[in-house]
Amino acid sequence: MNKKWYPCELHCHTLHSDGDFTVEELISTAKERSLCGICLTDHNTMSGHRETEGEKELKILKGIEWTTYFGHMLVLDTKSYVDWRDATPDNIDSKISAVREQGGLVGIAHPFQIGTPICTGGHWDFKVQKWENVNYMEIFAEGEPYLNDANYKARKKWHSLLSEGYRITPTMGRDWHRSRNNLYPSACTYLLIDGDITAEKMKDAIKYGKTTVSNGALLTFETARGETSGDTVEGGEITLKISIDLSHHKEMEAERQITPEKILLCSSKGEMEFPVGESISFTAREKEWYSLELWGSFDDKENTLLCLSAPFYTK
Amino acid sequence: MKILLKKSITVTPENEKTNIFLPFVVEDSLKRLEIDYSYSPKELLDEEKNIRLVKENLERDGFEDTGDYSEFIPLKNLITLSLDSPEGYVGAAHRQAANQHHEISEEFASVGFDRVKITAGEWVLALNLHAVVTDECNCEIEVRGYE
Repeated sequence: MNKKWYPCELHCHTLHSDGDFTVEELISTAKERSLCGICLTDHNTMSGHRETEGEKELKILKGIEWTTYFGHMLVLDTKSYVDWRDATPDNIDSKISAVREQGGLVGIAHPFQIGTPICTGGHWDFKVQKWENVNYMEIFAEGEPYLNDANYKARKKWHSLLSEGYRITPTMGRDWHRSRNNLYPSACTYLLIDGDITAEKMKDAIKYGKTTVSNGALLTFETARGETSGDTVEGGEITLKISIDLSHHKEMEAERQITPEKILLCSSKGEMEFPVGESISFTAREKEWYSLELWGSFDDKENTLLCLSAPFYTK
Repeated sequence: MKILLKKSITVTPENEKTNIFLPFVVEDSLKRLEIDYSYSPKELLDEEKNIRLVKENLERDGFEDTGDYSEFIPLKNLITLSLDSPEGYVGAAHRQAANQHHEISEEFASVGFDRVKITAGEWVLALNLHAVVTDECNCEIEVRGYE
């Protein structure tokens, strides 16, 4: 067992839809950013996938962004195509089921972005009833990894779904269309993978909640038994060993300072605050979710969210 | 060369968030398709209507109305193309350009579309009406087949 957190970008576009990147440019830019994996999710097409076949170094999970009239939905790695064009607010559960039946993963892109006509379909207006079929949700979207209003609403919605018992994986989606004006180069989703990264293992990490949403800082944690995000553990007294890694951020933009200031432990009952240190201890309730957040300053932005973990759960 | 589909279609805001499916028949001998597509107008020039629609959009989706709409206007029509062969979905051209040319064959396909054999049978070109902000918008479509 040699588990490692790999920096990845899970939401990318190219000239095959409305991005400015060629597929080749996207791949080379991702490598420049020291990313280990990407999801190629062009709007309503998979035609860019044919240009990724020769790439060995960067791992590419094949997807599509359903760019519908009522929301943008990320669909990863289906065995066969499922049509986006007849998705409506009232039939979305059956459309999501069809994707899942084809072995695909379903993610909600930028749920609180502005919608039509300013950004067509950008606001999530689908009436999902079967949230158990939704695999992941973008908490940080569009290269804005702070808790701006849209991201704050996404985090709040995600917390409420966790409290209802749905295990939805949090992700960061840069919605990467072009290199220029691309702020916060170290923001990414980290995926926890055993051994070398592959596209298949990327899919499993998203499916099983092995993610950390980062705007540069990487906070990771584990119990004495080595349990972490996505795992279900015994309730009671728990000590989590904490690790904070800023190396990816320093490699990307050393001139911008990240200063961790506090750790928040979030659950259905609210938040508990801890100082930044090597461990935190608390009494975990049964049948609960716990997500760790790292807060601090990013350059001149004080008291901002630096990192957010996928939850672990108690029995 | 044979013209397989030629249409001029006028859409209105009532058609927004729907698809218009345009079937056409491909014969056995064809090896390549070319699609020319344009729509007009692209932009909404009525300033009063621009502001009204932006204000409605901001309010509906829970965004603060700062009174500065310069980053949003002029609002644009967005009517994309998608294509199905008798064997399934071929792709889409999801981009803002209001004048487009595409080619599809087994050896080459324009960005957004898969390389596919030009199978004989019923193909379907779809107009995907993401946004229609002008009172009317005229769409011109021509599909040609080549041996």
